[in-house]
Amino acid sequence: MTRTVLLAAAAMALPLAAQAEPAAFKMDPSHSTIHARWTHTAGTPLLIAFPVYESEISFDPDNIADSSVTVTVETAEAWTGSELWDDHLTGDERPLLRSAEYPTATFTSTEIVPTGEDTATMTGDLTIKDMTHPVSFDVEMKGQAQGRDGERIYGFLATTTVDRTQFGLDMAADMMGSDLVIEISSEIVEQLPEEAAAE
Amino acid sequence: MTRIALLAAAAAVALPATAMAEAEQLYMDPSHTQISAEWKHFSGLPLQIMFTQFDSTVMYDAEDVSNSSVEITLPVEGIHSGVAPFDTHLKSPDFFEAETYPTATFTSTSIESTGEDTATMTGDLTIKDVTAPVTFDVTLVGAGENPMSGAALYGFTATTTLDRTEWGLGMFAPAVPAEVTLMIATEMGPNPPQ
Repeated sequence: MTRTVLLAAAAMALPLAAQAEPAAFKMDPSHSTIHARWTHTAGTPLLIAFPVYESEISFDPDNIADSSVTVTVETAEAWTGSELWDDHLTGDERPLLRSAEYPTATFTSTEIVPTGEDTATMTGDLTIKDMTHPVSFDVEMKGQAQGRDGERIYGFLATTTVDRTQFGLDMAADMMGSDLVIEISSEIVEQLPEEAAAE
Repeated sequence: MTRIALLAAAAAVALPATAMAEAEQLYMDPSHTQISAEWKHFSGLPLQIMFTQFDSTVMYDAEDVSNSSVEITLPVEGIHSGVAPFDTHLKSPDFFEAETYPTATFTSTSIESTGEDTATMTGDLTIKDVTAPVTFDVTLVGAGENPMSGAALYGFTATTTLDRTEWGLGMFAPAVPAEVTLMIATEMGPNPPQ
């Protein structure tokens, strides 16, 4: 972790952004988390973590609305820290995610609307278990930094609440409620042309 | 925290221990417990690791919470971030030094009620060769019944914020902020987990 740090104000406007067009970014899997949070029977807040598998982001800090995000997770990689619960999610007995049948879940943005200097609303299609429904994330830019090769790095937090029964995740919804908070916490890293070519 | 006694009565759950006004042992359910450490990366973004293994001894006195005690042991082997090279780095001598110090522990020294459902829990946190006090804000987030066994279930969260450099975990600070929030979210019941 030898990135140089450019500490800057959290404003969206960047002195570095000379060109006013979207650039390619990817979520850095080692500095990104996707959490699905809910409240369990006795009010306990619990979460399922999904590593980022693939992402494609087109981001223009000067023109947020001209940006787009697609992120995919592998449902078999979901984890809770408890092997018993991980089995409930993805195993053969009483599976929730049924990852053998539905190996991925995806979000694809359809519209991003700035709502403030560092905030935006990101609407798009969320697909879990082959069921697709529109969801709207509240997005906040938490900060920015600069990588070793001058690549721009932004930290984003995006949160939405969905009705999990819409995606076939009904287990115990009558007992615990069906609200599922999905939180994406991600450092997105600019894909400079040489890196893109190398991939 | 006398509300828990009223809730137990309302749920018609028999808790013989509370009638005796002494501490009863509660067991943290491993499949409904998450112990996590969260900090901000230098982009300002929150990141998190979990301690997926733990042992605990919890004595809970519903009528006098100050008569309660908590001891938690966290095997460093259970550290999980979702990013394998990061797990390896955390267990290395750069951070937790798992080979020499296989566990971290918290032992409560005092628990004080601060409201109907809240308390502060002070105790000693030992990581590697350093023991220093921390204070958790504890909240009873709910009480109910285990749907299978009918036994009482208590949901608790306990949160504390600490400076990791105090325990020799200061690598990359202050570029990566030293402040870490440790949170325990757990469901506890009077029966040991199967």
